Amino acid sequence: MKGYSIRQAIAAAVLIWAAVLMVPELLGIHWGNVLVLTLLWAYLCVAWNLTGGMLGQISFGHAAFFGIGAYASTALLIRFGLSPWLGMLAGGAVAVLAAFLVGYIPFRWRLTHLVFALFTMAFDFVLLYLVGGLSFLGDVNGLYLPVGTDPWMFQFADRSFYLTTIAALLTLALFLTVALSRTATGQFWRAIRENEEAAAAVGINLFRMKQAGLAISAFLTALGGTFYVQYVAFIDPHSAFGMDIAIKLILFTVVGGIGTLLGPLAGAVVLVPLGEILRTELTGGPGFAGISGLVYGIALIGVILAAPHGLVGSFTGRGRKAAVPAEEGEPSPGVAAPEKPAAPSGGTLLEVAGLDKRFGGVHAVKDVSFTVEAGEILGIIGPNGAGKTTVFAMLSGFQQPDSGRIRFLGRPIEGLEPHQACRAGIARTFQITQTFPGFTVLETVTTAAWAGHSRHAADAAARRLLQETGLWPRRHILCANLTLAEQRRLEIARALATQPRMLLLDEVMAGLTPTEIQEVVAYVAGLRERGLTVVMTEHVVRVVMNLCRRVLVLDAGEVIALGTPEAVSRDPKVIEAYLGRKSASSMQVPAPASSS
Amino acid sequence: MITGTLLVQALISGLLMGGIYALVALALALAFGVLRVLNFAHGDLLMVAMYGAVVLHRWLGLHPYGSILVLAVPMLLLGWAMFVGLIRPVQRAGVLVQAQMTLGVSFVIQSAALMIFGADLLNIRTDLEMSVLRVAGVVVSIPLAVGFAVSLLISGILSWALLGTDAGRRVRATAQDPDMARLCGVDVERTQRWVFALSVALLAGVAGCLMTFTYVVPTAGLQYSVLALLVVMLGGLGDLKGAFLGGLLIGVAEALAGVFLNSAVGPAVIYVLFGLTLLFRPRGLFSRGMEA
Repeated sequence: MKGYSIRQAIAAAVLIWAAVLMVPELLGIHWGNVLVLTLLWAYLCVAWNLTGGMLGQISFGHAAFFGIGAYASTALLIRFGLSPWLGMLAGGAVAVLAAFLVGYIPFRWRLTHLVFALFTMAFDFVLLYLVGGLSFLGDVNGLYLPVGTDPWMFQFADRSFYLTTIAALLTLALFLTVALSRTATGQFWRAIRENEEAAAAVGINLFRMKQAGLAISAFLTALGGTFYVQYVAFIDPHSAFGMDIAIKLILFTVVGGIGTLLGPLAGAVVLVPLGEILRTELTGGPGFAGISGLVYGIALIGVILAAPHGLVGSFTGRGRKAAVPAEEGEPSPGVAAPEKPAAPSGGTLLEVAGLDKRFGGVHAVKDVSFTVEAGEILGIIGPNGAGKTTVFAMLSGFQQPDSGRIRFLGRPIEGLEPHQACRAGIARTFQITQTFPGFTVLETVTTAAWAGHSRHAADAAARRLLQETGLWPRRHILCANLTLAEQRRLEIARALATQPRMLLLDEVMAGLTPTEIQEVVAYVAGLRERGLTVVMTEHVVRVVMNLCRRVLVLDAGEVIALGTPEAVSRDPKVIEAYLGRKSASSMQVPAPASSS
Repeated sequence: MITGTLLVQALISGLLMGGIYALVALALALAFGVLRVLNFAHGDLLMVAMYGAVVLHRWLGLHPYGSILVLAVPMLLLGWAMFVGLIRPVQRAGVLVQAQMTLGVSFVIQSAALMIFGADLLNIRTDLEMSVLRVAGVVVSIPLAVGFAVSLLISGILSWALLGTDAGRRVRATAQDPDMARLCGVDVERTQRWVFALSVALLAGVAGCLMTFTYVVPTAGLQYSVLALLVVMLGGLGDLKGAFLGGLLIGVAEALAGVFLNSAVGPAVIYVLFGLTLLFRPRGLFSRGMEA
């Protein structure tokens, strides 16, 4: 499991501190000030990238958090004489609360990325105008901050302390990013960015993870806000909440390379001084005040057109080559993860009663009831649109039933969220395969295993599952590059990695060749031998007939038959559903192999 | 002291201003409906036309209303070029990448305006500017009323063209389902190119009307972009009728907020409305728009 490179962070830190030591000495005060602003922007971009890059939630409203940090510490300083060092933390705390508030509904209801982006923007504008009406915050005219030389009051006679402070903040933010990327949380953020459905299916709590990401990012951004206002000793609504702040954050980060460690840094380090050079060195005239913005805009357009992964991303092949490490030895059997004890065979694992679901005018599932015995393989078959996938979606928390009861291990589970269903012991695969395109095969399965294992056990479990499913030789391939058959096996391995009691296989044979189907059938049969309970939907009726002791037949959302493969395949209603009324009498029944 | 007359006054001014917002939003909604591209530079393009009107007035003494016809063609070409050069290459890249692209365009236009025209407010003095109509104690600004009428006229022509002509059917087919439209023999890319160019050209009409009573600064573009975006989301993405009604609604809300609230805080109401719509009616107030 690789996070961001610590070496890159160290190298960047060395360069930052070298610049801090040398730039004011060699180039003078003006460039020292430019360096302060450059590092501030770099810091803010690194903070923005935690949500925009790692988590994949683009925010257009980070100026809100910046402004909150700026105003909170200023208000505390001016009204209560509180040191900005403490005010900074207070501002950060307020920003965290604001982040929870802003993210709550978009994340809870899983609104789209666009809605989230626009909502953050709306939030920022509300603050921009509200603050303008508050006289104790200086309304639209703003506030000047007291100037002095008390370091405890964030006032430095020696301006180089500002440089040191922002360099320290940036260094901290960089190492924090690296550290986070190596925790389970950082890994889950990346999984969410790659594919939310698949992330939820392996037990990742999307809501909590997104809230955490936004909160951390908001906290760091607010610290930057306090720093900025102390540095320029003036604050007004537009300098704190102006939308151009958020636009610049996006711009620098995208130009540098969104989602990479050094991209946000590189974007700011290249563009901020470049804009300054153009503004002062080339023209000097006031008419050219806009030149930096012009260059920023052109840089953004150019990068999107020519190098969509940004400056850093394009150099390093998006920062992640799927490097193949030296072959590791075979795992000793001792490191295999402890498995949950299989439920005693014969007990009822799942009880579904009166399940009902409508989508607008379509009655997708009508009063469906069935049970699943522990240790069995239950097949669910039916024509297209029979409601098979909808039943699965309700069992795994991806859809909520309109009415009906689902009991798993005796506990009611209707209304659970996907990650809760997964943690309760129900894992699913997707009919249309859902991968984490930018993850390797190994990363995918390890991430899935992380939810329920310790880290070491997760690595071992992932290795075992990949060997079982024959994907071990392909473990360093990116998921986007797998064949369909491999993706289907990966779906199974990923689901098993969450250590389920019951596995829901949604048409895992669809689109496979007969040989590939045989391999999957043998594997699924093996799972039953180990005591795992499997419910599978399938179009390849013969497969179901061979694997399952009992088969449930759905048609137009209703259960039309439930019984042994032999009985079901002779049921006139089933034959009619598949072949129409006329053919019913001439139906050739596939001879089922004897099932255990 | 808030009197009935003041309220009626605000309502009428708001409605008239809202009519002008409606046309800005209509153009944005049309482009989104057919291209699925949210153009964050929409307001900046409007600003280009506003500066255009200023220049035409300074050089040729052209009245802002006259500049509408003169500016329509260069605006059409500008839209055309922007589609071919910048939008087309990112059409498959996802709505947020397109938003980033158009934000870049917005930055370029804003900075260029600052470099060319400086940060000063520019306006056009006409005899129309202060002229008003008094009806039963309510003062109606004539430039606002004309703007409303022009906006209504252009919107009317647009909906006739969309509903009643063959080209309009192709546009609607493309908006409904580009793949299906392609299968039916519609040249989808050409349709999109024309629609985007047209959506930019329409802004010439708005600019001409606006310049009879307001001013332009380099930061005006972003404000109009955000306003148009807000109206479009309120109306429902891709819903043209919704965009028009949303424009009226925002105009009225803005005017009423101005009456009841501290003028600095007033605009906050609109963004609260915007935020609530995003959360609770992500397909617009009338729930007829596309999933945002």
